[in-house]
Amino acid sequence: MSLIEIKEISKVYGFGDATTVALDEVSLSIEKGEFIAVMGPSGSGKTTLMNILGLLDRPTHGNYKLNGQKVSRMGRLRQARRRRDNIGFIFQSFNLLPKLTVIENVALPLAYKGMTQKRRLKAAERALDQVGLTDKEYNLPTQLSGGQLQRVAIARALVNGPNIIIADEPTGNLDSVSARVVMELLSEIHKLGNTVLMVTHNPSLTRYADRILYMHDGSIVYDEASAVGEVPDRVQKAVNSLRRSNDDEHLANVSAMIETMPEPTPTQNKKKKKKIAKKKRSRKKTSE
Amino acid sequence: MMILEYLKMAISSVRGAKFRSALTMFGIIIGVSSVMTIVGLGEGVRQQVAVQVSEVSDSLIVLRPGKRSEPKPFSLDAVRSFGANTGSLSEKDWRDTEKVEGVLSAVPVGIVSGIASYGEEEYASGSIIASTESLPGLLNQTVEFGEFFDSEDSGRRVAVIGRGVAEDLFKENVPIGKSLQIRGKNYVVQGIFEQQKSGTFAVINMNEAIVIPFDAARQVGGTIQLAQIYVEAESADAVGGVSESIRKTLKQNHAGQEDFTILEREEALEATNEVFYQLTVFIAGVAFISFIVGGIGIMNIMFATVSERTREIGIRKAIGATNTQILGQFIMESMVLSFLGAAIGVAVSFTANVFIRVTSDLQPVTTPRVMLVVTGLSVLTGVISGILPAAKAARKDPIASLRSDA
Repeated sequence: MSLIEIKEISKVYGFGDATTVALDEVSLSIEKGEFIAVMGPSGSGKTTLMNILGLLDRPTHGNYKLNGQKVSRMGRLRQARRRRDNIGFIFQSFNLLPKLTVIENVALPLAYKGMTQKRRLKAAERALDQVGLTDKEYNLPTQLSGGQLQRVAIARALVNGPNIIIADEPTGNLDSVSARVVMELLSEIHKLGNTVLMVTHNPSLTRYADRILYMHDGSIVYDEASAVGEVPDRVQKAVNSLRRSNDDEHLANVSAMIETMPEPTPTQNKKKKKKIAKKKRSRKKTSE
Repeated sequence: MMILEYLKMAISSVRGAKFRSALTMFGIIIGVSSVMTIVGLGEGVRQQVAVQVSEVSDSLIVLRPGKRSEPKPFSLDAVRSFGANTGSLSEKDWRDTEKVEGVLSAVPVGIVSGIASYGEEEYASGSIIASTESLPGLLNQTVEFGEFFDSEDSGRRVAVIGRGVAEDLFKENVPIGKSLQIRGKNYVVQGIFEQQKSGTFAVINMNEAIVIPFDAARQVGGTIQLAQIYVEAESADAVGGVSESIRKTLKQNHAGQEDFTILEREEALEATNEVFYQLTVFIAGVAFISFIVGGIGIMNIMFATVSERTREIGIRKAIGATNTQILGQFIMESMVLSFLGAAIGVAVSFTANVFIRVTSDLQPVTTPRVMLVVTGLSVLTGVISGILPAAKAARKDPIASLRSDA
């Protein structure tokens, strides 16, 4: 039994002529202990997929099984509890509460569990120890550097002992040294047996992952296993083919990288930004 | 368990925005403090009156001019019925009342026309009262210096005055032997009343009264209107029968009309209470409005807080807060605001009460019951006005919230 199993998950925003398909019948299964890097250009549905996997969002269609239990149609209350107990989020912009101290921030998920303050702080201390920030416990987030903030956020994600860590561009706001520290931490967490899902724009970070998903226009266009510590050839090639870029051209470059990808496997349609009804009709045709 | 958490979160977020919280609480503070002060004043006066009534003999019957009608609620009738209707009780009524069987004594309280003067000084604030020797005994009012006139003094031009008169007119504490003038006639002061506890059950404020014998008052000229007649029945049990007999007698005098009011002791107290009851109803209305205004203030700020903290809500939801927990947090915050407002309001009203006690002879009383009710009401206001903003916070979509700038 897979840890995560989604079947033909779609997410559609808006209605009528203004319909946008963010996810288009994505199917995916993730085993416990995998480190997955999700790549793709902006608007390809990476974050939407992460939000649905993290139970922050509900799919428009499709099934989501977490730990063998169907969670896609679960009530909001039970989803919130699932999220609290099973999933740890790490965001690009850290998302710590600015008025709470570091240790209070880390302990916050436990407060929602109803744990006593004493036990909470103890657990938070352990988590902070894991990320090497025990000396900053009583600082406010404003007194920390970006790398330190992200480590606090990682401690917060870990404090509940979740099975899945979802990191949405965790190094996006960090300098290369801090980014490295954060990635090493994530890698360590992975080695402890945790499942890590990471969205990234940086191809070189895929070397920490043992599986890489490429997304485009709401579909997973490529799903590849890769050895940890290696940037797969395909990605490497894509990186090499890009000229050195400044930040403004970053997005364009990622799109360009996708262009260099091999054609997806024939069972999957590539261009699918159409209205649901139309798309269903066309799907019927292709299956005929 | 969770409630304690909400409380901690609420307190820390109120502390995080002190100035705004203070502004938010302003409406509640004003509401609570004004209601508590006014209720305290009313209660103080009521207690003072009650004490006076209890000091008055329980075989007392009070006759007042004018038919006492049921005062319409929210009108000035109740207040008006107190002093304005002089004229329908005459000296003959008093004399006849005295003769009714079972009446021990009947004491008129006549209002003498004119202003008392001493040298250049005039005294216009109090009333000049024509009465008889039984008045102090009936009202339980003692004479501190000198003595009250007795029946033999009835025609002599003497006066017994209140403390306030001594101080304001004569500018001294014990002006015994000096004489004051009423419409050109001299009256010799022979006694000073003891300071009367404040309150107005007796209609007369003894501190500002100049009491002269009834017969001597005739010499002033003008008419003597009876503001009331105090009757002492021979026993408390006889009060009912005696007042019936008086009613019959007076009706004969008034050609069969009952244009006067007979009050037994409890009724006299009731009449006074009636005024305070209406005052209380009025205050309740004011309180209601001020709580609504205060509540809207809180609701307004809570809505602002919720949209300002959209991102915080998103974060909390992402790390596992349920909608109910978000709801609880924000309702608690609004409750804490209103409770703090109530606490500050109570403190303000205590200060105001001290100020009133020092600067006037009113003695506002703060009962714990009023304090609890007012505090409870404001917390309730907090909960009610917190519900909508909190529900808005709870319903927020976590993803949109995380993406928001706030």
